[in-house]
Amino acid sequence: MSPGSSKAPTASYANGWEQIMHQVTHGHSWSGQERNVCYLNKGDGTFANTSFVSGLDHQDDGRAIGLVDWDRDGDLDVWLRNRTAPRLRLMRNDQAQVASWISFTLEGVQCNRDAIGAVVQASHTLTKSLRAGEFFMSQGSKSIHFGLGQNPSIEPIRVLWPGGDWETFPNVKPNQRYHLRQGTGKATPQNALESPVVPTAPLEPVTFGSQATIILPVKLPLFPSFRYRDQALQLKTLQPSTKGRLVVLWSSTCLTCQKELQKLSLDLDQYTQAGIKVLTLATDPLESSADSYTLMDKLAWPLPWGFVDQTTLAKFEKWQQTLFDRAPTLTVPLTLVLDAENKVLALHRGPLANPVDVTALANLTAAERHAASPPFAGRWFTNPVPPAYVYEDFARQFEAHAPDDTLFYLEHAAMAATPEKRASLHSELATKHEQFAKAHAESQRINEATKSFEKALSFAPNSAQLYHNYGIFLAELGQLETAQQLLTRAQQLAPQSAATTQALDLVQAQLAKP
Amino acid sequence: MSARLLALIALTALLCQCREQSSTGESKQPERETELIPLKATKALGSGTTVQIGKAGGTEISLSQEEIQTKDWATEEWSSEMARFLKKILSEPKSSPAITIGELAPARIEASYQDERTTVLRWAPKSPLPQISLSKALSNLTGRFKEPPRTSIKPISIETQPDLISQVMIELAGIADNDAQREIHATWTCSWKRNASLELKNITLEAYEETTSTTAPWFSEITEATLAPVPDAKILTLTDIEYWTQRITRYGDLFQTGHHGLAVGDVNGDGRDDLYVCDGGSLPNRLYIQQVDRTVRDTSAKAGVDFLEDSRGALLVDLDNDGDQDLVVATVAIVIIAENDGQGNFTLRGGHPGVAYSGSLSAADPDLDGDLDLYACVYEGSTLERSGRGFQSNTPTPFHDASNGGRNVLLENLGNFEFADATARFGLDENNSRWSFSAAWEDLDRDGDPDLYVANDFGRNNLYRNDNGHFVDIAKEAGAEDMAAGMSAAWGDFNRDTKPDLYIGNMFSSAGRRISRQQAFAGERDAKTLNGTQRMAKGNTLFAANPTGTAFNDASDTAGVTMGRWAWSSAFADLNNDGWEDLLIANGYLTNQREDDL
Repeated sequence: MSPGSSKAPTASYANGWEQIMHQVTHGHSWSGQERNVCYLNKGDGTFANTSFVSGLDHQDDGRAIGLVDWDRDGDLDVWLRNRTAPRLRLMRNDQAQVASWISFTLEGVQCNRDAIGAVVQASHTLTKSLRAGEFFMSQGSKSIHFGLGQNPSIEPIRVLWPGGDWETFPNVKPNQRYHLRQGTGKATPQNALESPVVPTAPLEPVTFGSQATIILPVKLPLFPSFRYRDQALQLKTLQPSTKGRLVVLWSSTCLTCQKELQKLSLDLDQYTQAGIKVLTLATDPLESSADSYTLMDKLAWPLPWGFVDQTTLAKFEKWQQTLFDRAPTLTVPLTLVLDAENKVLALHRGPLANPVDVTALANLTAAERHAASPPFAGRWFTNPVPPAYVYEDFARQFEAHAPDDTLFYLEHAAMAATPEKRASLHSELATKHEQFAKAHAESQRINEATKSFEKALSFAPNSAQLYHNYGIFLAELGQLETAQQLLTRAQQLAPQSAATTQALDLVQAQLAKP
Repeated sequence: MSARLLALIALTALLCQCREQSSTGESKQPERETELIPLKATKALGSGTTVQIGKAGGTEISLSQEEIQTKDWATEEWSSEMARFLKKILSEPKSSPAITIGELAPARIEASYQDERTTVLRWAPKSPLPQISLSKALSNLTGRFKEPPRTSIKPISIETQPDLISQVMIELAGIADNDAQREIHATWTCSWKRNASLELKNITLEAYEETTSTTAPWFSEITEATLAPVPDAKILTLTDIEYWTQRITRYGDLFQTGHHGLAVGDVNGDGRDDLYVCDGGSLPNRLYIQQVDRTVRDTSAKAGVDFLEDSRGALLVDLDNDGDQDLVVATVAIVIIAENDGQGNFTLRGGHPGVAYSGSLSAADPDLDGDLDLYACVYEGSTLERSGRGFQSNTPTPFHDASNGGRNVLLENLGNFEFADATARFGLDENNSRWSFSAAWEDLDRDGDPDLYVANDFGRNNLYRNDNGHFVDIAKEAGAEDMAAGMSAAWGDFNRDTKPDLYIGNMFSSAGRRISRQQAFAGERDAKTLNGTQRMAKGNTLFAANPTGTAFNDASDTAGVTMGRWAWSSAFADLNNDGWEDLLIANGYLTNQREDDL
């Protein structure tokens, strides 16, 4: 399918893909709900669709197929690797009861030991070759399996070994597995491995809750425009804490939240003793805030609490979308575990099983955090993702929605970056702050413009252009002394700039006036 | 700089780390069901967005300004309406309009195939079928089953001029009178009149195939019993990738495409095949060792192969010719190589840093020096500035013949687990910037050295003939370019003439077929682009080798094997042991929580 339909194909493709991926990351299906297909070879050049009668037509997002006679009963069983649950299936074939077979393992001597590339002829019409890796990300068994049908007539087996030598292995019988060693000319029968039969059962779907404990692979700053209203409905920002903080989002309409708050109230002393702040924020819209007050009164909640600002909540969704490839629906209760600088250490969806050891989470080294973030045991052989990379990615993702937050994440990226990267981020920060300054100036927001120019200068202390523009801005405001200083600096940095010289002359002329 | 690149730089550290590092993290599983209240935004994010608790009547995020332009396509609306209507009259034939049509379940058809267990009846249009009422035709059709069958209806093309005519793929499956398993696959041409709603005027049967087999399906599932001894198999295998992409961050390298494969091999040399399973970033790869009782044990931690890096394809092959199966894994960072001690324990011997984010892997000995070399498919081109997901950072251009994909790499085995990029020296850099998903080796000219087929998405495939260790792309002259959305390549002699044939997994997209044939789509594209784009959605390809083995005829349509849906692995496999290669196709792209499909 080719998305988009504009005249410029490349742009439209790119745009189309982007839109599709956007929808997919928001839970849409794309060629989903498709059943696996199985075709029976009728032997006359045509096939029949036998997907259903084969029992293999699961409605999975299938990916890989592993062909192997797993139970060694003389037919090909199938391992299936899927994107959807179940992500792994083993399907047992019971064909050997109705038709003959023969199979071979190969051992190269002059060629590679696995004999990958060998061609085996079981008759003048039965040919197979040995491969390692085929289909889509799949590798099957190295046993070469031939179905022989009802009336098998086996001829001497001929093998074309890698390198081009043909070798004949006489005296083989159906329904037997053989080992063929290059150069021996002798097919060695393999003993059957008797095993009990594994019981069959279709997999029943299992529902796992939406509860989750997620330790982030890096300490990730919460966006700076996070706002909440205190009990008196005053808009507040999150201040740094000394040891860390839990922010618990809840709603008065949610029973689980009520229970969770109850439980949390019992743990509050423990948190307070550890120096951990606990801030509970109702997601209830302000018009139904009465319910929130009632509940907190009932719990005799001893700590300050409040309401999460609705714009903040929307931004938090964006924050989560940046973090996860499939944006999760925002659910409550939701607990954010923050360190002293309001960097998010972990997320808990649903009730907390045990009190969170915030200090331990905050003190994890980068390597420990890397090891702790996966939901299962396992090993990494690569280094953890550098925080600077994550912060910059967040900056890019926030660009369209929240320019202020972009600057915040860029600054964090710059602090965490390598020196070369830091230089380019600083120059980008200077440019962005200058753009803000100009926009503020145009809208007559003088203080904001001044701040932005100062900010820009802090990132590009040797930019003649910045000193020039800042100087002009102040000159127009009549702050001629400072303007003169700035333009002088600009001229020192770029002596050849006629514009700067001209501006400086004008300012100096003004200053010279009595 | 991307996480990937840094991962490469970290390689030196990796090699000493990996041997010592023990698995420390404990399994953290969701504990229990809870009642969580979803919060739903009332509109897309922006300034002044309001968010409210999703009580009854709360609407989901509306993406109206971002929705795909398919809304402009009236045919797509009609297509859904047609499918809904046909599904309804199939389940309630009495509710169907009072029109007279030809039979939909032809009464007298001869068996086109019969074996001990399976009978296939196939009808093709010859003489006109008896005319009966639509309701009778439908009930005759569903009457082929004891209980109402499972039905699937997909319009695969729509013409609007001069009349509204659609071609529809019908699939019915269920239990026949004698308790046998039965499935019917038919194609109908439906003509419609456009009123306020669509009015069905006629149905003509184009193709009909009815297969009846034994009372039990050929395959039965033994996953649960086989994995029963693995403590966390349930949570790891009975959850969607989508479940984990909401719990593992993108910085843990988990993405929702779910491209993770598997490899079968006898890892501990006991004569029983074992299984290595790749998984996404932050989810461990698993080594499942088959026991005497045919169940498996998870030995991945002890064996040292429970890697958490995002992994795509894997191989179990003997890289040092010592008689055991070594392990190769295509990961986010590098292709890693681990040596087997013969008992099924592995030591990481390094990796090749030149191949980041490869997918399908294969091994062969193209230079016939007696050791196995590796070929790694790399789908996407370099996207170092971003984490390179989907098509967001690099768009296939042009869509039907893209040459801005990744560079596949041939890693030559130098011995002692050292590998070098020998792609150029082997001549394999020719046409090597396509979007490659899969490769499969075969000695197609039987000269003793392996040749190579590469299936590429968004355009033509490669067929590299091996001329004494130097490869030449002969796909065009061999008639095997197959310009389409290649996902999978399989070799097998389906017609038993001893010459290896090819089956290519492609994309069969009914929506793509419908849209690419519409005037609104076709109007602004030149004929070549249009044909190419239409070809993209046609489906799987079967190439029959000619007697030399080095040129191919497209046998897909006569064989009737194009419909593999959105195909991934598309395999030749003699499933019923009759000596003829059957086909098995794993398919479906992205099934997510929302039912509406793109």
